[in-house]
Amino acid sequence: MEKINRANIVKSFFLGMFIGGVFQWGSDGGFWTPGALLVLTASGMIGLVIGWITELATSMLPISMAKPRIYFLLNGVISLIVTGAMIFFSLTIAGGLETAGKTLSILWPILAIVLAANVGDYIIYQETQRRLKKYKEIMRDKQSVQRNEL
Amino acid sequence: MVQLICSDKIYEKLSRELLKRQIDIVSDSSLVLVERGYDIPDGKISIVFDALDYMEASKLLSDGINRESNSIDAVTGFYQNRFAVISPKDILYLESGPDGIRCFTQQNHYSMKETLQHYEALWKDKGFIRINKSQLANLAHVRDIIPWFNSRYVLRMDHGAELEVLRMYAKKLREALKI
Repeated sequence: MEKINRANIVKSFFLGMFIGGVFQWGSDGGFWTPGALLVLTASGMIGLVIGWITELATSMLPISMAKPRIYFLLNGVISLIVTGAMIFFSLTIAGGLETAGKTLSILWPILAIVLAANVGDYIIYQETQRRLKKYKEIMRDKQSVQRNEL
Repeated sequence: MVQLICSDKIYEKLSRELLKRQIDIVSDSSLVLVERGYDIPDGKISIVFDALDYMEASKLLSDGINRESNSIDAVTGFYQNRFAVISPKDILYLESGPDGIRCFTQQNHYSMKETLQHYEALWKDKGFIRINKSQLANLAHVRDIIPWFNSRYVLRMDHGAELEVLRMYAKKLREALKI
């Protein structure tokens, strides 16, 4: 439990609210409807629950599993599960295939957000490796200068 | 580096003291510690001491060298009943455990004195960084930084060991690498 990052759970709440906002924006009545606040809060709470479950589940993963491939694979799997669950519930709430098409079209921006987040994560990973390499080069140069001075 | 000219008994005691103070003993140094009664070598700086004062002599030498070079790079580690002089650049990581501090190199692991906080402060500029409550890693020996869940990282070291960077310390790592 101590490994759980509460800040990430709070971020999930706001991400949920943002996604709820996208849903609301794409709905027939537009963004400013009487129930908008309720939709935002509900989607925020869903985000909070998803965030909490994700943090709890990932905190149980043993550190021996840690490999870049596994990390990005698991990230992708989590995104798929969450998006899949959302599609399932959307279809259930929509109540039939007629309205389902419209509901699913709103899911595209969500998929784009999830994809962008994962791509961003990978870019940060590559940048970290580059910075590490640079840091090691600086340290090597520093040590050789100190040796020469001695 | 210092050369010793003394009796076998004093040599044994003095060499142990000097190793603790991270001073190497060589046979052809320009600086010599000479026990009173032994011949003073020509053309070398010699410090003559009485056999009873060998501790004082080693302390005097150590203090002098410390003042001269400001900080000593090497440290002494204990492994299989032997002391070894270890350079920080050879250290992969330090770990504190119930038996004290252990330092891991490519080949061995040594017991060391002092605390993790001491080495953290001493080798801050040498790329050593605290990664969790009980480990201090040398970034120069990190092969790969693996992102992990719950805002953690895993450092894969040159010899294959994997060290966990806890969330609290991940910020320090990011700051060090300017990420």
